[in-house]
Amino acid sequence: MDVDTDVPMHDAVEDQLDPTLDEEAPGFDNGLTSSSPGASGIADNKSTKPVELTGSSIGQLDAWLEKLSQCQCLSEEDVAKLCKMAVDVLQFEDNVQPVSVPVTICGDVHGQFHDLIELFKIGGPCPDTNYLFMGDYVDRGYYSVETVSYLVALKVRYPSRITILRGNHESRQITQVYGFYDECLRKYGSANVWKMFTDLFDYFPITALVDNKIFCLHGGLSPMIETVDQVRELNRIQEVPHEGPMCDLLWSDPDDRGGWGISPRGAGFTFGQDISEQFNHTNDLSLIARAHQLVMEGYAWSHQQSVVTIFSAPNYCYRCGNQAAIMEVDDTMNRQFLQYDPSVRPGEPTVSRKTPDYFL
Amino acid sequence: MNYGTYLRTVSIDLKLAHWLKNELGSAHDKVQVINLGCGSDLRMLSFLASYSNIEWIDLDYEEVVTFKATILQNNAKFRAALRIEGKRPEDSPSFENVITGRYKLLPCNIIDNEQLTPILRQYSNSDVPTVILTECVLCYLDETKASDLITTITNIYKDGYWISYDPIGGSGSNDRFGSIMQDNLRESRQLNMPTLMVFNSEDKYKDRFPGTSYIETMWDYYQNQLDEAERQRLKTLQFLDEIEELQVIFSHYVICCTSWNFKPSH
Repeated sequence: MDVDTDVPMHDAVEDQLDPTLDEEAPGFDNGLTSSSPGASGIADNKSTKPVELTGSSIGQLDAWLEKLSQCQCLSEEDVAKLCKMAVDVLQFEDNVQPVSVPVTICGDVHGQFHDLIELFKIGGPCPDTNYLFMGDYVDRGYYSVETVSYLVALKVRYPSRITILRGNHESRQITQVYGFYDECLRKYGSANVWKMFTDLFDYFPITALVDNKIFCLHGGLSPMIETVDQVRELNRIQEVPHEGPMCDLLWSDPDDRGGWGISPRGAGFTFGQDISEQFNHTNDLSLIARAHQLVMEGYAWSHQQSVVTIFSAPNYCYRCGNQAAIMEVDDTMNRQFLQYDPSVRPGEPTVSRKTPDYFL
Repeated sequence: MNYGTYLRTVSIDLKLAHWLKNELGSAHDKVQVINLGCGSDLRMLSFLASYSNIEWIDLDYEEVVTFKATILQNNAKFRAALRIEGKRPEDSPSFENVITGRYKLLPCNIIDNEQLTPILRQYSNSDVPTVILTECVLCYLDETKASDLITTITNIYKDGYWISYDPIGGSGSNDRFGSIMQDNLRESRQLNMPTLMVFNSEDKYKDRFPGTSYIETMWDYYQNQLDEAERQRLKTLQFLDEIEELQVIFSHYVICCTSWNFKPSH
């Protein structure tokens, strides 16, 4: 589509969010008395070294994983424990988290919990298969809480087997517009769980580097980032900014036009093949793997195979009819795409019967 | 979703306004607008107010009309705008129809020709230029019923313009939007859209109508018909980051405008 001059993302979002962030708003749930980062307290007593799992913590994590695998939420108290443990895993990861092959790389999940379970059936269970998820676990689908709880629990349980990057939806602002905030209020009766998870999102790594050859991130490149080392210098422990390199990494999209362009999304940029090729050349990369955009086949190449988009939410929003895909990279760096369809067929009892919206 | 509702409303309004302004011989020429399956649409209020030369007929099932008539009769603003006179609500619990000088709200099963033709003969003039509106109506009809309706209408009115808005199933080889939509609606709301996959492309939808048709998807409408200032205004109203999903959805809704003129002189 034509890129148009755009309302900056932060203007639109802030205009929209100001009323909900107003503590004085009549009738507003007191759970959101403060939306300031860290208010949940999950990072108040950070460890100085990574979590070491004990027999009892393994037992607890396994019990949580069992419960979550049935699509049942953890208690608020358990979410607090889980998030505290996760902070002490994620805070020690790098902005550019190194990942070894073999690994299976996945795109947006967006709260489609049953399809995440299908993904693990297609790709193999964690930890038998190593996974790298490129963000957007929450919003849009009906099971954001279960989805993000499950992935975070897997991360804490098997920290070297699964990498979970941050997507643009792992943010306080976006989740208030697209569903995760409302879902937390609905399922827990307060915003506490939302505060814990959004505080935790600040610690998620923002990119990963598979065998020094495949650069993985949610969105795309930034005009302020020429080298992978420049990503390492960013301070990522913060809310996703409205602009700047960290914002771009989570928001940008590849485009058919060369050079940098204004993004129709209102955040990040579009980048052309020249930009991708230069970045891959400069950093001795073979590929940029990213997610962020719905692609009907579940994956799509851009820029003459300099960039691949992977999208792992089949029939996105329960109505788009797209396939999903994951990309397996084996120990000789061979790549294979696995496509799949929604797990839950009509008539199966577990699926929510809420109809997706149509204009009727 | 708000974008889609906005586009649907605005596109129909603008198509109608454009035709009223540009396609009549004179701005004073009499026109009739017939909204088939009108539902609770209040579009007639603004058009009756803005165009003194139009008469408006709303048709729908009896229960819809009764509901709508009761609301219109109950509200002082509606009564004034539509020049409704006569009985007040306290005199009667509900109303079957509204008939005023320029507005008629009448019960009619539009796919029953035994009902439709007599009503149209009685309340409209087949020689007057006529705009037909079907907003998410044809998609619910069986193929033959819809086809009969189009034939009936275009036979009655010699000079007409038909604005129709509907979802289409999609015709791409990998396009499952329509079949998923049918499944979703059937399961959760017992709604059937029998021709969603029959008239699944712009061409197939358009070719149902005799005369000269112009059709575009709401995605094309969004891209091409809105001016830049309006698109920017929308972005300030609702933040929008998922362009691809918007494109998938909007590509499966169409607005189709057909003009016909079967006057002997042509």
